Amino acid sequence: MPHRHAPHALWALALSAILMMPSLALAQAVPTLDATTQIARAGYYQLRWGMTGADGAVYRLEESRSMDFSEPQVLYEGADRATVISGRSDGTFHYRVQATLADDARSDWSPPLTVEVRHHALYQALALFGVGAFVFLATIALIVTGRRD
Amino acid sequence: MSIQETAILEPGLAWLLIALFTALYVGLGWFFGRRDKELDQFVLAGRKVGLAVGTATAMATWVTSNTTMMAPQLAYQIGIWGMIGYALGSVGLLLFAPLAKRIRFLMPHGYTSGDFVRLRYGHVAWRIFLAISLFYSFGWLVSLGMAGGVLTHALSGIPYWQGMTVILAACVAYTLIGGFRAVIGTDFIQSILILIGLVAIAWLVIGRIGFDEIHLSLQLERPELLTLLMPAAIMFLFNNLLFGMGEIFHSNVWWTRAYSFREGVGMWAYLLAGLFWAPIPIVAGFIALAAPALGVNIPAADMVGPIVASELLGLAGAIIVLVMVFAALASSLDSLLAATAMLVVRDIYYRHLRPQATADHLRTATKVTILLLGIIAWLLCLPRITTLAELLHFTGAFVASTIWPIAAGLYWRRTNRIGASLAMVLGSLAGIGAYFLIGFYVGALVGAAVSMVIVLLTTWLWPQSFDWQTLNEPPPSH
Repeated sequence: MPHRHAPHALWALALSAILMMPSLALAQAVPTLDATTQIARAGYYQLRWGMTGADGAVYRLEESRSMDFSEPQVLYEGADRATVISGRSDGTFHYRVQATLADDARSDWSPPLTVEVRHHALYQALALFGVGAFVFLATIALIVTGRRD
Repeated sequence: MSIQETAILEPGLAWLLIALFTALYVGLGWFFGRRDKELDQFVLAGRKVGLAVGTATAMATWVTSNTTMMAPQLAYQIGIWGMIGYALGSVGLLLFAPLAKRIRFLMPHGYTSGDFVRLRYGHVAWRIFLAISLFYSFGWLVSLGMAGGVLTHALSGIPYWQGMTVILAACVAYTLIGGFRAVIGTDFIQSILILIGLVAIAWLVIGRIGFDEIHLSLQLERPELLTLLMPAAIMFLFNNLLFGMGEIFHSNVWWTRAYSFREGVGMWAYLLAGLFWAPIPIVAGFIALAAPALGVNIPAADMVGPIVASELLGLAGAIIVLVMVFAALASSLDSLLAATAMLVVRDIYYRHLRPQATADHLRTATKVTILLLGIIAWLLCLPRITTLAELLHFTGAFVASTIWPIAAGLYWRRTNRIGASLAMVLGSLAGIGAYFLIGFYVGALVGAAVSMVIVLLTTWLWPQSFDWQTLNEPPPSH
């Protein structure tokens, strides 16, 4: 007697819809993604991400050299909400992040974030290296030749 | 909001270890300091510290969270030079060796580094110096407190503020109970714990993951960490060396040791400490370079050391790191608390506010100051505003500008008070400018260079003839 079960089925449907609503709402939300700098002059920077109310979410962070993420590389997948990139040569890097919620629902991708790695000029670095070496050697000379009386 | 969700140690086990070592250090603090009832004994251990304890206290104090956590951070951020540059911090200890001998010779009754600047350069330079020194001390205190929180969070997931609070409170407690003798006594135990821990970790890391694998991963994923021509790293090299020199040359932490060592001990204690210390950042930094080969995520650069060690070595590694870094932190925090309290009490409270204070009164004031410093450091640590490296290097511009006024003041009669004051002010300003315009890796370098030029110019243009006997101030009557 299926008609006798219909009200139960409707209730169940309504209940599950109510229970699913937070997940659906979260799935429609997008994670935020931020970097400590937009131009990294020393080749390192920190990326931070997160999504409000998405406790226990698993995040997937992708990196690409092109804006359209045609060949993305997965940098991290897990529950952490930050990572440090370092040792990068000059270039432009694009990032995006996606959250997978407790019920396996996936959020949309975060808006893409771009970081440019542009190292300091080598001549500037070598000039300051030379200044540092000179100050150091001069301090040794002062101590070695200074008065002992 | 926490940025790291994965941790090796159970919080309960981490709390147990912290409680055990806190009890050990507080107990030792009470034991070592139980007979020190007089002021000179409480603040300078009676000026009779021998070579073994002297070497251990200098080395353990210089092995700080900066060495065990910042050396890996810098290796992870700027590569090979970051690691080697950090090891050049030993140059500060080596070059302070002859200075320690000269300080003990010129000022046999001295108490603080402020005493030297006051007698050598007068009140204006002294007050500038005190401002720089106190600013640096707070920077260092806060970086140590932060490191305690970062460490416990990285290893066990304990919230940052809880770990920071407990570690800071433990160090304040035993410094308060035992005074300077407790500081150097615990330093001796802590230096042994640090060395055993570091050798164990290095041995385990090299055994479990080969050099080839580490090199290949770095080459593929983070090539600039291997290059010797990375511009920021090249600039960092001498910056860190000069920063270390500035820290040691000016800070009361090192001057109190120079005063407290028995005659003839200071030079050798600092030389040996420098030689023992130099390999430690290399070993600590190397651990960070294994991170890419392990595929482990590093959420914040200052967490790399503990995370890699615990990831690679599991529970045993995490326990070793916790014990070792707690020892390193404590050995520096206690020294800094004691030396800064002494600077505040003698140079500000006694010299400026209460010149008639008795020895008993000053002893009590020193204890109150240690407590207050702990509370202020705790308040400053609560908002985790920056990374350890960036916080500490911000103070680099200031301390590096004191290198030349201190060194020239100890060896040249002709260096004058105006030159010393200008060198500290303009050197600091130039260094801070470079810090913001270029990066944290040049602040100390530019500060030291500008300060040196001013000292040289003013010594040449307006030479004075200083009488070294002025420095031999008789001990206070209290």
